[in-house]
Amino acid sequence: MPKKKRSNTIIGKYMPYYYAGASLDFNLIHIDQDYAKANGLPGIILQGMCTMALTAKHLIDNGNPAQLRSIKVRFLNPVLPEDELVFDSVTKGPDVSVIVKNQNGGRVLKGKATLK
Amino acid sequence: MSGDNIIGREYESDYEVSYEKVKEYVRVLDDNNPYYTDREFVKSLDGGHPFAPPTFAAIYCQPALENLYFDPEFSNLIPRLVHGEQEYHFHEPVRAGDIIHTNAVIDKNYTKTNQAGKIHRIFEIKTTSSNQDNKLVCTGLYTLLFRGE
Repeated sequence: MPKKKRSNTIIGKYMPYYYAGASLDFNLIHIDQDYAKANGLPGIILQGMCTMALTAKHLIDNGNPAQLRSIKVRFLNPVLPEDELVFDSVTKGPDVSVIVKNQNGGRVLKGKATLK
Repeated sequence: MSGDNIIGREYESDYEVSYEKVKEYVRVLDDNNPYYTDREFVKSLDGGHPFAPPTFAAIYCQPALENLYFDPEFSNLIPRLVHGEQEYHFHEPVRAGDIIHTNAVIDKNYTKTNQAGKIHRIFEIKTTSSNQDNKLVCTGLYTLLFRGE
């Protein structure tokens, strides 16, 4: 039987700055509102790698991280500060599919993973 | 647009994984998994050091990719850069104290036209990371998209 799991995360107002500090990804679209807007974005956006990391956190769920064998994601729409993300995954044997949506129902990430 | 001549170009880096850095990283993610944060718990499992989260690959691959981003052939494209897709395959787990060597190679460069008729340029970058014992820890595929004007 496929196993379904859902979790929620609120993206903090300053999370792009915190993630920039931890990852050294200081691309200005993540930290400078004017620059982000000048480049066609609604404002600063969260690093895609951070959304991916939150997706992996949802999958590993406080277990042994070595169970995650692979992850492949597509970034569909920008994640903005103060977004409320819903992570939905379906596990069938080792294969997992995952969709992440924001509070407006917009899909921000879809992906596949394998767990052992 | 520049960036035509960089297929096959390679970038290398070494990254030493520290427990403190892992703790900083998981704190941002509000991830309290004891495999990352609880030294005593992990020691009780196998006597080893705390684990890095699998997606910490983004951190230890970053110095190699930074060498790419600062390549003059590439750096003028950065303002229109969007991360399109990301894939990682994990092998030997990465733990605090490991030294990870990463090789990043620009594998493919092609264009795609979207529904609005804008031409996006796409770069695919392959990464291969190994630890100090020469064991493969991770292979990655970064799909970077440069939005058309």
